Amino acid sequence: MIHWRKHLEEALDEAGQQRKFVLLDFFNPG
Amino acid sequence: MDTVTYPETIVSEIVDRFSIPLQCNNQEEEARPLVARYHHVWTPDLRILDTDGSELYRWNGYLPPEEFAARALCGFAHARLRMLQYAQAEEEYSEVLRRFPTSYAAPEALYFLGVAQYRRDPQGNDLRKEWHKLQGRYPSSEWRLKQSFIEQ
Repeated sequence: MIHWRKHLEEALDEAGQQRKFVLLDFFNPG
Repeated sequence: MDTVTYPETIVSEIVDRFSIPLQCNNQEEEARPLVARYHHVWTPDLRILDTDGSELYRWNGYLPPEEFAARALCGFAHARLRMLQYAQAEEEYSEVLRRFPTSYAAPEALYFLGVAQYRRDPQGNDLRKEWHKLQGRYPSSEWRLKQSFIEQ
């Protein structure tokens, strides 16, 4: 189960702390 | 993607191992700054970002689970390569070739495996060795064409 974050800055900070990248997925729910 | 691809463990394991996942609903008003910043036009639209927000790899379009897993792994390997982390890039490209040898991402992985090896050791002969494999394994791929100047 992927736990998607919703805010870029939060994801970038977390990625920096964990030495990971950010995977950004633009989606259209329709 | 949310109903077919993302629930599969083969996908989530790779996403979680290498990244913090972030989803952006392109229909929401609050998404506008992100849509503009990354020049987004069409979904599915996947980007691999460095921790400063700069884009290191991208792809568009739906992919079923195994193809998505292979593409994502290839993308993370390429992000490593662009961050000059050559040994890690080699490991991840090799994983693409070991686990997903018939995927659409595999020819690209083999092409850049040679590049990563060459960048790590410019005196070695690994680039030509890997590209020679590309000619044999994926003769119709675009990545074979991209190294075809050495076949002349």
